[in-house]
Amino acid sequence: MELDEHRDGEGSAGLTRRGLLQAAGLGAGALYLAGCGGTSQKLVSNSKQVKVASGIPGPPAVGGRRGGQITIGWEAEGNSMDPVIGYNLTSWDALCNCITAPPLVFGASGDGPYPNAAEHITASEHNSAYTVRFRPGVRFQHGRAVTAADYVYSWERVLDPKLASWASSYLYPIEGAEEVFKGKAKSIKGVKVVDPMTVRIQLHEPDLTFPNILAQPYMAAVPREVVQRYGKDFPHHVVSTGPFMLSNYNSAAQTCVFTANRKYLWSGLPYIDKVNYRWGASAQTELLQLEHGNIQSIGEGIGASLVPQVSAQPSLQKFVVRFPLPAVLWIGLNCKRAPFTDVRVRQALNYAVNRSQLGRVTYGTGEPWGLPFPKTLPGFPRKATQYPYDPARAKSLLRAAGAEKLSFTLTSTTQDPYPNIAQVLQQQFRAVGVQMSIDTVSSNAYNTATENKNFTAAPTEWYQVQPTALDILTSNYTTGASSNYWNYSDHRVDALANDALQAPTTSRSNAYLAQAEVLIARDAPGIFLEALNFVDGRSPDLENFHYNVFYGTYYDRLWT
Amino acid sequence: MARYLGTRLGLGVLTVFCVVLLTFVLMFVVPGDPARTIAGPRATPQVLALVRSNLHLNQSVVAQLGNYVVGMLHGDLGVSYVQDQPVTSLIMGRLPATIELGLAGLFLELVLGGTLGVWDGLRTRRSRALAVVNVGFLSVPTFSLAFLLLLLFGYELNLFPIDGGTGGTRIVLPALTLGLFGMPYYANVVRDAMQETLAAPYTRTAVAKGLPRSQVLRRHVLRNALSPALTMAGLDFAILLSGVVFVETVFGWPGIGQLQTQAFYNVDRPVLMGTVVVAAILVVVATLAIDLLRMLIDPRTRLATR
Amino acid sequence: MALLAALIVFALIAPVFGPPDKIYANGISAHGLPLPFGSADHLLGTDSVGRDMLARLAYGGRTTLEFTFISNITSIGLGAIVGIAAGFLGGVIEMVLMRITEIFLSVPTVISGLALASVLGQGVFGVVVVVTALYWAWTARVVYGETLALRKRPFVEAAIAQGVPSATIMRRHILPHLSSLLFVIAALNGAAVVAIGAGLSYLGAGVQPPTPEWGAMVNDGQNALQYMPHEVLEPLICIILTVLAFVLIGEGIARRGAVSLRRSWLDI
Repeated sequence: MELDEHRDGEGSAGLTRRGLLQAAGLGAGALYLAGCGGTSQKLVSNSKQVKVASGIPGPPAVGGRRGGQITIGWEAEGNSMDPVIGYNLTSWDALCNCITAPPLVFGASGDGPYPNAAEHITASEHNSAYTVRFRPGVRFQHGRAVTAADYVYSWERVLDPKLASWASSYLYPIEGAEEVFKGKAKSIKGVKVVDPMTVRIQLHEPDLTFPNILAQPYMAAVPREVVQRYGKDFPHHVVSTGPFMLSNYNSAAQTCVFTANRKYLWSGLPYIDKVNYRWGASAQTELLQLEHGNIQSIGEGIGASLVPQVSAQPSLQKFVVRFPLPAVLWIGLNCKRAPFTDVRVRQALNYAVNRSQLGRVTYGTGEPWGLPFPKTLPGFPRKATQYPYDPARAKSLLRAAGAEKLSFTLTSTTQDPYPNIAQVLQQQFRAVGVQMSIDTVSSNAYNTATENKNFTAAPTEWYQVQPTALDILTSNYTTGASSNYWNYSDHRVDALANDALQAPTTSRSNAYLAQAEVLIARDAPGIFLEALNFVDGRSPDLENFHYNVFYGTYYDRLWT
Repeated sequence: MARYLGTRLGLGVLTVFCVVLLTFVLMFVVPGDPARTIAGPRATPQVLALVRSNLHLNQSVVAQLGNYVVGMLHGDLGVSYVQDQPVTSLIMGRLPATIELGLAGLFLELVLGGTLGVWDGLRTRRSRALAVVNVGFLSVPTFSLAFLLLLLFGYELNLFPIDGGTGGTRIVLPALTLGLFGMPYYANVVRDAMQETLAAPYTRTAVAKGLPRSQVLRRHVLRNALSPALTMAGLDFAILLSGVVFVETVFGWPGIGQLQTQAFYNVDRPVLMGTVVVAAILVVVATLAIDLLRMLIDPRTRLATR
Repeated sequence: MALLAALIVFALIAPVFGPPDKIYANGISAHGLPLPFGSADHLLGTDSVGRDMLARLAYGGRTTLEFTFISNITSIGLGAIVGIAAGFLGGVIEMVLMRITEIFLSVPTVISGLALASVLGQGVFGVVVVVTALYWAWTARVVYGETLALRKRPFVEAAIAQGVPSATIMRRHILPHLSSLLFVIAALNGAAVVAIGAGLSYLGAGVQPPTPEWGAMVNDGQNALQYMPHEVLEPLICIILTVLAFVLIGEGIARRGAVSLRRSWLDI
């Protein structure tokens, strides 16, 4: 199947740990195309205020004060500040909101993508080739002007087999990209420099979603001379085009500092002078530090087990903001393992779950959601209906399947909020005569078990990084998809995924996806539980605070 | 003496080697895929395969162990899988802060535990209240103890920084946590040793000789009572130096414990092995130092008399 | 002794307090918080998913007391044997045994614990073996030091001179002098054993949820330390009482034993 050829590795390994979430993906974005910009602002001429460029994509960016600094607390160190290597939450935040300015960017609620370091992008008639014109006057943080050749170099770098970037497979839709990754070619055949500021990208086949890739941090330009000068140390001396430049990385002291890039392509931004990262403190300590003013934001947000503290302590409430994410949590069921080979058993368990009771032990980090695709998807014409709580129906389905005395094991981890969810589910299933035992294993053992499909049931999460349901679909539910640990396979779903990818417009694409969701919901390769929220802890003194559902906090336009 | 030292050092090297061997094998028993933590959850099987071959993870365990030992003999502890930095520089970066906290913690343990132990040892009846306090500190998890101290002295009373800042006072709370946590161990051991020595014949002799009470205490009782505490202190210091992860995370202290724990979760085997090698060397050196010191303090265990 | 008996009785009558894993619909307040200490239906409050703390504490006692006792006996037994043998016999035996001890002291707990647990499987048995493997070396080291000192005592030297067999000397002369020390170690280890058990549960290798266990309950409650301290304090008090029981029993034995007719020559 054509779809699988290049989709086979899209995404992988259930984006489980909140700390390990995020990575880029593909998907049908909106039909934005040439010059269709984001929110545009008038040039402010108030002399007291900073002059800010017009046409900045995303939330409002005018009216701020220059100066000051903020400190973000993290639990884990970033895995790398190299745009093609970084994937964990700390790195992702730094890459998206400080270091890089990719050609396109998504809007705050996942809309777009809109032109950013690219001035505009034009699709060929069937979305099988794209012409990208880069914005003139964009400079690297060290001063040199960026040209089309820099992008060609940077994209080849994503495919460099020596770097083994996780993002490499996302470029496979481009003609000749896979050959570069496999070491068979030095340059990408499908990427042609048309003039110093323009490239033409030829794809293997129509792909409506390709521009979403151009809105990922690994597609931003990095200067060849800096990469070569620092070699292995490049991640600690990274230079790109974003609003803040990495000026100091101190692994031993568990801190790094980003200073404002005054050559940023959106002149006037950023307002603040410095963004400090500090990692290695526990979540509880971070909450105290936030309240105390030592840090201005908790990078990973407030986890389910700490949210009740906010309910108990009213003075904390002003520090907390909730954002619905295009993300879901469910129990994946291994469709090739008894007792889940029978679709009726899988459906029965979906009816047996009281999702609102479950919501009470995840404290607003999730809300009841009985469907496979995320709740918030822009312009998604949802057709599937959620599984209601219906224990009687669950019992009759189990009876019909001859599985009145059902028992199975849930392979889980101690990752928040899995233990609570597992224990509440255990109770709820007992009410319909199902015995679920919980096997808690280390996160590494969990990864091994799911990857080898050596489990019966396992809790999992998926955080989309693009606005289309193709992201979750082609990673989790198409035949042989790399995160399809559920052994789920339905040729109609595969066909719909392919149709959605090659559809001429976003609305057509979404219509196919809505049909696919109906099929997946009915086949129930999982017990669908929650739509996830990001519960952010941040100082109320931060002005013009905005959050992007894919990238995180907009540091470039906030002020103190 | 020189021969004894030589044998001990030789055996010490052997011990470290055994630890390396054992840990290396154990690491492969614990499930986990380094390629997955290097390349992240979205990496495809193709990328994972490439990562494995780039890092020579395809080689057999024996070959990997061989490479590691050869590197180690050349002072090369390898390169971190995840951070792509030399392990030696990662560990050296954490060492100053770790030693600082280890020394301060050990000092407070000895002072708090020693004082309580001597005080309780000198009493004719043991203090029940003290026993309860001791048991309390013994049972409280370090994480809770650390967090409560942070909450009380850092947050509520605002006496010490809670952000792991750079001031000189930032060491107080983490060291105090370690001190309180270790206190009961020392208090118990010192108290028991005190009673043992107070009842010993040589104390009677000393008293009978008419030596002043303070001198008997200092020259005979304390000196002998310190021996078991010393055994503990040496080992304790080695363990403190190999990292105290809960205290480090609560106070955001950049110590080796965090490095090791992160490495464990990331399946970052070179870093994990590096911290283990350092810990093993510390333990070997500490035990040797203890045995030598004991000979110095307690003549009865001196080699010559054996 | 009475204290320990009370704890055991508390664990034995656990079923009186109801099931430990039942999630009560009214077990969580309207704000989504657990019920505090002293609530009408749940005297000791509820935990973060709405289960009765009293029932969980009682059932948790069964698990915790079981593995604490067993692993304390095994780890101290092994440690004492090795420590005495190395300290008394000396020579090659001493060198070999003490180097093995060092090896065990050097391998990080998480790795050895998890590796062992992944071979042995989960549950109480696994915890006992892991704790024994981790703690015997510590005991051996302390006992070894004490034995070295005892070996040079006149009564031991006299026994050696009389040609009493080594095994008899170790049993009759050395071990009794170490008994109070061993009880101190048992008390000191008691708390650590509970913590290790909880740590293993956290790493997915110990006792599995929803089976209650004091150490794991303390761990789970730590997030609620600021607003619902009963979640930590109640299991913690149980642990403290257990350890205290060990300490008191140790003292009792020391008082009764012939060895410890102790008095201070300073106070004459």
